[in-house]
Amino acid sequence: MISERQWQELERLLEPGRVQSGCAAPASLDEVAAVVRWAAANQVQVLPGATGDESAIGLDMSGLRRQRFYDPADLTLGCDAGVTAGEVMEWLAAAQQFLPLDVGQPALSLGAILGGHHSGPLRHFFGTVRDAAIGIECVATDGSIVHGGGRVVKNVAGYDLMKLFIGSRGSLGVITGVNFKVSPWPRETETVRLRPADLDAVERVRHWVLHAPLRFLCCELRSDGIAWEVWLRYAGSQRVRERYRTEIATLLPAEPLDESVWSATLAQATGSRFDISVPASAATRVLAALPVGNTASLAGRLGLGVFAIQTQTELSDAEIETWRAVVAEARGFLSVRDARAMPATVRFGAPTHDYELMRRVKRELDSQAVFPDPWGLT
Amino acid sequence: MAGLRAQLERELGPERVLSDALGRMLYEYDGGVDRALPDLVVFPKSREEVVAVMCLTAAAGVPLVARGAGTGLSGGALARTGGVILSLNRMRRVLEVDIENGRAVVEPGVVNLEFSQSIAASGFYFAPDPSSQKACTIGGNVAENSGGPHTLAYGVTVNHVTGLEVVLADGRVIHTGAKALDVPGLDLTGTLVGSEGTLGIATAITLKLTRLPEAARTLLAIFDRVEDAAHTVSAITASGVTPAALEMLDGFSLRAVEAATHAGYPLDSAAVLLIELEGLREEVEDAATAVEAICTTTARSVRVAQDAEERALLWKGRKEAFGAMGRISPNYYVMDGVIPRTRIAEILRSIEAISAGCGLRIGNIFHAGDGNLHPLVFYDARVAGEAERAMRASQEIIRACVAVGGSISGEHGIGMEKDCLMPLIFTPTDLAFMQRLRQAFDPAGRLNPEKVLPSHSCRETTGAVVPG
Repeated sequence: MISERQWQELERLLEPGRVQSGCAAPASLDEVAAVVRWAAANQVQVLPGATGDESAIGLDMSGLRRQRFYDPADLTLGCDAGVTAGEVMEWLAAAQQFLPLDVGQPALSLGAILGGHHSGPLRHFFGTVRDAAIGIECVATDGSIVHGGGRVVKNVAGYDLMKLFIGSRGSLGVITGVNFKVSPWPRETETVRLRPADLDAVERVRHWVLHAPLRFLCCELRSDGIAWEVWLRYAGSQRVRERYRTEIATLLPAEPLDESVWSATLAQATGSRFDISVPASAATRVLAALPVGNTASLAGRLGLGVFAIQTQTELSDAEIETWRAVVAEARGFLSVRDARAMPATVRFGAPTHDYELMRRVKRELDSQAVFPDPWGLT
Repeated sequence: MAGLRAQLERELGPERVLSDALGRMLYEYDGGVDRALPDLVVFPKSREEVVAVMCLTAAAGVPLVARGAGTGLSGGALARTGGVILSLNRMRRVLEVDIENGRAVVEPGVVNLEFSQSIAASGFYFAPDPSSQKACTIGGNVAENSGGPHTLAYGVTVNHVTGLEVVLADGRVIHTGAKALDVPGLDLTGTLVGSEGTLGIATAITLKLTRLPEAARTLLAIFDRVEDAAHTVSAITASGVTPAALEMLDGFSLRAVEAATHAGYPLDSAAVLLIELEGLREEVEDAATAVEAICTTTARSVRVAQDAEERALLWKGRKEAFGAMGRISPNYYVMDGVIPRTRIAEILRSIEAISAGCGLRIGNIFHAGDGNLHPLVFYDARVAGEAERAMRASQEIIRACVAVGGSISGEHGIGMEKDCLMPLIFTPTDLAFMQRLRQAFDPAGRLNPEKVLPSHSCRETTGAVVPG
């Protein structure tokens, strides 16, 4: 439990008013470092981007929200981690450029997106933030400021700390800044919807997309729990898009969709939320085997085997294990996004083969045990 | 070492343990300028044998250095502190090709180009294409996070590896990643790729395969001024067109290349850009029109390869360029700096000034599309002092790259060549953090020691702080 004395000590480290309700909102990199050092000294856990409680301090990074540099001609951008996806996309759109930050939540910070390795439909062609990040700045367990990578789009100097920290869920340090290589956004894009009758037809679409010479920006599987849809997005000149339309027409009837569909937020429900990843060719087999009777929504990258499923009602731990067994049989992975507390093995599954090594990395890099341990490594 | 040798011979058979001086000399060097003689070289054929070697060398407290084809340019596969070289090129099986999932699993000794050629009929290939791809191994690509000319569109090796089987320093075997994406936990696959054999040794690699493009077109833009070529690179980058490759050769270099390869490069030009566009037929035509229009604002002319043969010839010139440099000079030292693409013209001027200052010729052949320079400093090692001048000039070039926001290695790796330069781009805190990461994988520091992070010799030569 954090004592009154300790709270007061923390307040003195930051600008007035930046410590409230179990959360610290630093205004600078130095303040982030100070919070972490305080946490280490007081054996308090720091929860980046989360709300704290009586024994852990939440860290609100919205005070670090600068664009550090942007070179449109070099296609590189550097920002504080508190910058939101929406802000980044707005900066880049002015130069007809973008990043794969289409996670459906423009208000989500870069730190949250990087920490959780979130991605969206553009992953099909452009990959994720892990592929786009070229440099990173973090505050480590002892409050030191650490950098990896740099500002250039190709760089093999040193260990790839971007890969290590992205997706680490705050377990190794606080991400405070990131540099990206950005991509040009196509001048003309188009989206069509296919309505495969069943999962066999969905699989035929997946197979066709895999082997076709066409290069789709998005190949998205959507479902409301009743019917299946595949959304295909592509870009190019008028004659390139005509080629796509002609080829797609040989597969299934396609209806044009307004580009705004990609900005729409997915329907939220009160049930459980899962992230599933399987080898792509196993996707429809797994979806057919899942007891998805109460699915509210499904959205995923059909060509990559990555899906997010939202159920109407919350599943029990036993039901989660039933789902997980189906996914595991296909050599895939299932994670649960529910806010409720649950053991790491329920949320992420049994430890994978390399957990012991992850444990060593966690212990070495978070020697002060300041940061969360989502996978139960320690 | 005699005891270890006996144990290794019992494990692998004497024919796969090299101990004689002459044989070991073949492993004293790689494609770069550094030299280091190993005590032993071993040739395992399986993961189990790698494990055995790892355990035996661990028990003996002897350094272990993994090696593929030895085409590296930074001394990464050299036994800098002696010890055992683990040559992996007899582990060259393709274990699985799974086209429906866009994956393959290969042993580390599989040769990069041979693998892509072997699956080409399926319509897929392994995208990273280092210039040494006819010889380099995928294990080596993983160690160095190799790039190549087509990095611009397709990324580097880490973007094409989804899983690893790794033997750790204590002999344990782990699997990171998988065929599926988003494996729970830390991204150890991404951390291991590019770690230059210092964190573990990959014995099986899960590759992400890429669809072969429907069409490709190669253009050669010919310039009368190097600056015009450099500015054209920026213009193409900023235009929204992403070439599959965008390479530059300066006039000095291309004349040597042309004499060796007869690729059709114009001998009287100041620089050429070799530009490759890939994709759908219609996309390639659109992109070629756009790129030609950009080039012709300053280029003398733009030539479009008329057929596959001409295209292959133009690329032969580029890929065999380093080998052609023997015509110019008995020795050369090639650097691997990276800069923002908007600073190419400025850096080329700096390189020209450095050349004038040191009295040595410097050619430029590089991946202009991603700002990855390969200045070649020509010297004659037989002439007293020239080698030292070449090294100093190369370091000056690297410092110039860093000064404009660049880095010290785009694809060749740090190895033992550039470890002392790491403090140019990383603080002591950064380096100490990386050292702690290394310790988590290899507490004894036995895997490829004195590589990547500043070694003890750096303290003596540059005053760089040895981390940890």
